[in-house]
Amino acid sequence: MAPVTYCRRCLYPSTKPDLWFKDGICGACHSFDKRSDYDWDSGPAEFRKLITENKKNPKYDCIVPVSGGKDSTYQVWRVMEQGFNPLCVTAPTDQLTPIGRENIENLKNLGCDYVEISVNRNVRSKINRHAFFEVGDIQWPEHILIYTIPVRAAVMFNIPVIVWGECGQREYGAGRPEDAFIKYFDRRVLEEYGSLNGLRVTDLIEIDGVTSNDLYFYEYPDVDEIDNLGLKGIYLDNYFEWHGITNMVIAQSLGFKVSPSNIRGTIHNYENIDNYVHGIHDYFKYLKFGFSRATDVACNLIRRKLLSRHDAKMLVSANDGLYPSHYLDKELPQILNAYNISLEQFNQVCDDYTNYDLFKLDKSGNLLRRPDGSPALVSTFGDYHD
Amino acid sequence: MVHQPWYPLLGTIMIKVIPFPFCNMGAVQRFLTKSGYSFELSFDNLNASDIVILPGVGSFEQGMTFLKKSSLYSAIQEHAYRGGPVLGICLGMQLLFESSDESPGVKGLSLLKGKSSKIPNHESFSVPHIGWNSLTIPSDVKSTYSMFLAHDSLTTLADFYFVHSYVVNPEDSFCISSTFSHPSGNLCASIHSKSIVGFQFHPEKSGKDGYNLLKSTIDSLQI
Amino acid sequence: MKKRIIPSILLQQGTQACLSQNFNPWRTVGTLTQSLRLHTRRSCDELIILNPGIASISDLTDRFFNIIINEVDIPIAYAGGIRSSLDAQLIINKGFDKVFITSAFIDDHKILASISETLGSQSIGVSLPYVNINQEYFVWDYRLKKPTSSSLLHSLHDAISYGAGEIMLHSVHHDGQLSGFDRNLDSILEQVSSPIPILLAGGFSSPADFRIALSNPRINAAVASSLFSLTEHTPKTIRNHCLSNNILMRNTFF
Repeated sequence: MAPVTYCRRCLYPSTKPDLWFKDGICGACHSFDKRSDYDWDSGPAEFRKLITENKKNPKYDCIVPVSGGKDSTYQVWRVMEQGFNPLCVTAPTDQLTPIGRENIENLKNLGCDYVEISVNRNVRSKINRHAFFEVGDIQWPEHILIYTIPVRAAVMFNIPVIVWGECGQREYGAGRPEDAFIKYFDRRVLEEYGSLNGLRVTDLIEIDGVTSNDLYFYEYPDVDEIDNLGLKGIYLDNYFEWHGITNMVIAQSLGFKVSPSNIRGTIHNYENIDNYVHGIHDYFKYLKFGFSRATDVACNLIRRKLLSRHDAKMLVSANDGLYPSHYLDKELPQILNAYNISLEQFNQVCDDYTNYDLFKLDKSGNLLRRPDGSPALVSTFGDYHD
Repeated sequence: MVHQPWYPLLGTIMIKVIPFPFCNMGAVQRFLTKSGYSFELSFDNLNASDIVILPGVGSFEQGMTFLKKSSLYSAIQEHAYRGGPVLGICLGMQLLFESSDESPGVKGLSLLKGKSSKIPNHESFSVPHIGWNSLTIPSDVKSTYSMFLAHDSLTTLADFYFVHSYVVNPEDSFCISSTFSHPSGNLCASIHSKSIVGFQFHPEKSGKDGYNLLKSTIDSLQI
Repeated sequence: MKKRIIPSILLQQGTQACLSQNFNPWRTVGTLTQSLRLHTRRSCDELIILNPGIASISDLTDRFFNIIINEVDIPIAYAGGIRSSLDAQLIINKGFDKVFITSAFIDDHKILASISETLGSQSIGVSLPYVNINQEYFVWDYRLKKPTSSSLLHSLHDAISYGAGEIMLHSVHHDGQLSGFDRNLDSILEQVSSPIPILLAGGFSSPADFRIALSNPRINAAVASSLFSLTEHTPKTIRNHCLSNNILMRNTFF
């Protein structure tokens, strides 16, 4: 059996965590098809009803977790356009880029209150470093904080409704097919799907120099606090049709800026431009699973019939999983320096997490590499999952 | 082939590991590499300061047959008689003695007097003894287990991994450096006599605690 | 005897770790390296790698064994594709401490005897997937995806008499469901007279599950997988819960 098999419609591989297949088509494609069954006409009214019925804080109707990116810029606009007053909450990224900072400032100009909760940077760097070695995820703090900080804020400000953007399980294919239809984001979803790579907050105390005092915002609030609040983390994509590319158009018209050139390792210039470590994270995805960000974006477009599978193969082959020698305007050693990781250590950890079964090997069992230094995939998208 | 670690060596300890063909050498090698020790699997020049490690899985007979066939039998004996350090793990420790009930008629290295016999049967203690267990240190022994002991206790705060059916009964009970408990009484878990050390359990498979124990043992065996 | 928490890692397509439900590989959760690092860091007591999909031991790569040797400093067992004592020896020489067999035992008990004689019973265990049909327990053949005609108790006793050092009982019905372990096994366990260690697998969903299972004198170890990937519980948090409820568990110092 081939090490990787692919969806017949898009390019998602069987190695993708949490992805299920039926009749040769992947869960993400199936759930996209299901969307045509949605009653989009009544979506806005349902959305408004839910927010109104759950209002507790006299000033704010809901929290919108924001990064300044195209999606959160659109989310804030949509919430205000529906007549509500959101409190925007930011959990800062690991290594903010200049364009990321510009876009956050732009979001503040949209006409809403904004709160940024930043955690101890020294501790955070230690956790970045630890997670890099332990689970091959240099971006781990961001993965958890973008969920826990808005929930903490909801409790602190007594605002039950959090308006998240897309439901990852719906957009990208879930582990349990029924999770493509979830209505609320809660702790189970975080622990199961939060891309935590198995690392848990309880592990962090093991790190030198990290104490429980440092971990308040990394921890999801207690069940009692959540229940007393009546927390409802809802997904905007349940009420309004969600298209990343449309979000980009709307956000740009509101002042959101894109990168002057395409991002290395993917096929666009309009997302993940706020954090320098994205490139490393995407590279590890490629090493572990044989696909990365270019595939994600291409598949989103294929499903919407904006790109053919045939053309997508060409784009993905040329751009997916490129060695992250630089990201935007920073070189790799500079990015690694922030966490005291040497290039040699980086390359060793890359090798530790590479799934050799997915890549071409020479006679001695060493990886065959493409000109950019990344390993070459065995598969050419031809093996379908049946 | 000499395995050199890729970070600075600790002192000049050279470790020689007996390459038994039927045991998991990987674990011992992993410990030595990660801890920065130089080691070899061949025995061309055995210096008095070299530490000989006998890891071991398998039967007493299999172990001794291998040692005799490869002429390591006499090399190890001479090394020990000259005061050279020897470290035996699990079966490796049992081979240091004279014989074992597991393989009647087979003579061991006889570096120490005594023999191995089967762990007594008991309804609450299954044999083979598989799993984690703590050690009790004889009160008159100055031992390398002090790092695992609370000041008012003789039982280690760390457990080590055991997997064996036979235990050693040394003639000289003073060489017993730790025991584990059994319904019939405490049984030998490790020995230490001059430069000969033996562990019945597997420190190389006992996580960080095992690694710390091995490191302090090897460092103390350095002449 | 001290009780053990044993995370299991189910492999699919080489070195991808995944979860199963009712013995069907279900979702990929990450790479082998990651799983091994996490579990050993959290001081679990042992590990077991399950690789039922492999056709033959010769398909296992050097890379796979190197990962095991590099990442693990605690005992680790392997199950999947072992059909002879030569297979078992190879696995142990290459980095594992013990092996488990299932289909080889179902097909021919003498294979178990031969492995036990060559390697010693401490190096070989038998894993018995089982189902409950009208209050009767049968061993389940995962290749055919149906029960065998062998009763679980009978097979358990056979495994002991043919030289197994440990027995793993794996409930097919509870596997991957995160709904709690099989509480109805007492009728089987009470009839096992040998003190041989028995490992229970299937359904563990919370620290309380481990506490209840490991309080049973006949159960020596709990084997679990899904809860470590999908919930906030780790071997460390579970061990602390068991220790605070007076269950004898491994102590670590460093």
